[in-house]
Amino acid sequence: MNDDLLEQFIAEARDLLVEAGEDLLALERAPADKARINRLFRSVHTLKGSSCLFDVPALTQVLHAGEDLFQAVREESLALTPEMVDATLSALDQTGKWIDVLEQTEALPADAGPRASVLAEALRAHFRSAGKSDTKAPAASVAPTAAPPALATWFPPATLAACAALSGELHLISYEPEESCFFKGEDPLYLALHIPGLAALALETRAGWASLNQLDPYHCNLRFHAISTAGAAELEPAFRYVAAHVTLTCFAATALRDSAEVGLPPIVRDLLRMQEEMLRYEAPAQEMPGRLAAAAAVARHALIACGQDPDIDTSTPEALRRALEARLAGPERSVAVATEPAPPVAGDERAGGGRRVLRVDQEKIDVLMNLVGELVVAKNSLPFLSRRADEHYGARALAREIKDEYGIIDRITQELQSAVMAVRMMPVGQVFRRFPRFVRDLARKLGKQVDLVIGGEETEADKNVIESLFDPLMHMVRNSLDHGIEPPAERLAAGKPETATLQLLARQDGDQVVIEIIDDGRGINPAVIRQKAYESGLIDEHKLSAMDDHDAQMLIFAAGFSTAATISDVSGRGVGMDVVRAAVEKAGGKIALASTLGKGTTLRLNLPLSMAVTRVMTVVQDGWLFGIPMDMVLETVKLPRADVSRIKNAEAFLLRDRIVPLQHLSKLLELAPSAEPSDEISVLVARAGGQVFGLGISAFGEVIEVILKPMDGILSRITGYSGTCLLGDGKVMLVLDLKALLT
Amino acid sequence: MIQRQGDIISLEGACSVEDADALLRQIQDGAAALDWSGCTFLHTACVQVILAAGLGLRGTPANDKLARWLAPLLPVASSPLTETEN
Repeated sequence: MNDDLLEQFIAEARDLLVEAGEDLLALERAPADKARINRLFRSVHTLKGSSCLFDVPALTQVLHAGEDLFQAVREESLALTPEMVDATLSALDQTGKWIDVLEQTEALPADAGPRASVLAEALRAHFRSAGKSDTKAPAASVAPTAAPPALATWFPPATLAACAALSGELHLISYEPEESCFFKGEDPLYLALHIPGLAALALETRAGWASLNQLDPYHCNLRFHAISTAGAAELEPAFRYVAAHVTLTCFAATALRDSAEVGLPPIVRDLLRMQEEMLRYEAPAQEMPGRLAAAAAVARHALIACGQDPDIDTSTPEALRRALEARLAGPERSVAVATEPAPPVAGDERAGGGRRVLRVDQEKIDVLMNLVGELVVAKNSLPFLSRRADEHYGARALAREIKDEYGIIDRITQELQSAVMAVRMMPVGQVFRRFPRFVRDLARKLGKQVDLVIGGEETEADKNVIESLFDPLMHMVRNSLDHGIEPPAERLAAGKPETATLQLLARQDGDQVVIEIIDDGRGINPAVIRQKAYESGLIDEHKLSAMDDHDAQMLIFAAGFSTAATISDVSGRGVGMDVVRAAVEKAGGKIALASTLGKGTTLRLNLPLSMAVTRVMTVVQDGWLFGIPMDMVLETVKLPRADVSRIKNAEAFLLRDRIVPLQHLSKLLELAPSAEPSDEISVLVARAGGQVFGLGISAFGEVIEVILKPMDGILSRITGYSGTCLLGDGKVMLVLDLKALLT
Repeated sequence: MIQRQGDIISLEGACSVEDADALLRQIQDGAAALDWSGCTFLHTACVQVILAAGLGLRGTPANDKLARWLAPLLPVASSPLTETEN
């Protein structure tokens, strides 16, 4: 199997499956959408076509059934029902799973065959129950069985076309003789040539041929594939001595008609037509035999060239004309079926061929990103060099020149950086597109009616950010559906429309992506939350009374909190929202909540556009330099020491009528104080873990952009630091994890 | 039966399983093409040798089944002789 080809197939298959899933859901809402059904049919058709290149009969079988179903829907002989959508979705799911397995093992799992039959049968059940009169199999008793997918790899198209012109059922016989069969007196070729009703024969070599010097002619390296018009009752006795090495597959001759590229190639058709035309004109009697012979020779050679049966009646000009007409007529219909192009769909990129996409391994981009990071750091050393040139060597002119050069390199580096970032950018839609299906299935399961509205899917963010988004979003959407949105009856009683609306919106806001999940459900009842939190011991009585409604609602993000009265398999196991919060914060994001009782809930995620570059504020403490992520810093204040009040052991200060606890970085890090305490302390007001703290430090530094490298190896166990970064002068700076330090 | 005329190897009559070895040796000695116009039976082992050698076949075998089913699957020798065919 060709690895590159398989890789391409897998990537293509994934895209097509996603597209097909989307189209299917859209069709369920708007069944009349012609463009969608065409696109859907084409996705499945393309997928089925490419699957034939590989030995994945189960996959092809399922896709073929799907293709037939959509063909019928497309021809409007079948209306799409939710049950059909269910069956198709599960078929697509299974296909997706097989693609994953295929990627890992280059083969389908052992149970693929039986599963495929079940799925294909489920799809065909709808097809048949619709009672379409002109379905492909005239024999009503036997379901039309899909043609074995690998046929096209063994038999030339013209041979298949010839077989497609046959009627009734065909059998594919695949015969893989034992390697040592010659020593048992077997002659597989003889057996193959004497297959009853033989209609096509193909030879396949199992492994490449050895060089003639090493060739062992008595080691069977061949496999035979044959198509026969005979029934199993006739075929089985023929193979009774080698039954273990033969597989029989029954399929309808007509099933071959829709396999792609069946039929006479256009040039052969033209040649045959010309011969037929030539024979129609009158000619002197003595010229006729020559003309007949010429026409017969051309026709026969043309048929041989395309692998067709060259056996035609050439006895008289009339007979030959009729034979040619028959040949031209027969396969033409099947060609028309096979190649009938779907009408072009507006906005279809593939049809327009406008956009060119390059698939690149993410590792390569990561390497590029790291190199850019190093370049940024190297670039940052130039200002140091410039200063040194001025101060140390007294070369002011040189210092200025270095600075000028730095300006240029700085600009190019920034452009390079944003270009690499742009490569890593992915539209949020990549994540959003998985939700229509998810919401539909969940709503059906919960017996709720939900309209999912997606907006801003073109908003872009870094791949890592996008990828970290799916799980939190899924938890939140699941919670909305399970806890937020009411059953239809309850909604009607509350005077709301029966169908709830769930919005999933994204937009860019400065250097952040904002994602909102808005439902119009029952909202979060702060009283219930308070009670629940109190009962589960999350808050004490004191807090219970002091807490305002919003703070109470925010308790849903606390670890170990769950309001669901019964634990369902949907949500409510007490994990969820705290996990969501942790995941979002890990990605450098924030989560906010607004909920009105009876009206609905809005969850808002703020995520950085990119995780690659972090803005940190540098602070100096006792001669050490530390970085603090800017998204934690609220403000910086200079505080007279006299304004710090002591409450028992703790220190606090008043900031705009609010008491803010004060901690000292030197104490937190257990640093030895290097200087006398001054009258004024620099305080960094930061938010960590939902609380506001003051952090006393020696001095503020500047805000810089750094490439934050997480601590790895044995350092990863040290808490209190979120990572390290390189500074322009080559020093390593530790970046603090305030949350771990303060809480 | 395997026969040799110059650089053409002829497959005459029935070419049995034993002939595969002879055929292989003849081909190893060097040959331009195989002529199977007189061939009435060809054993699978001989077919393997022909396929492995990649030598083209001349003529149409004397056996219908071979001519109809096997001939299209084997390499064809570019032959000046075939022009005389009807």
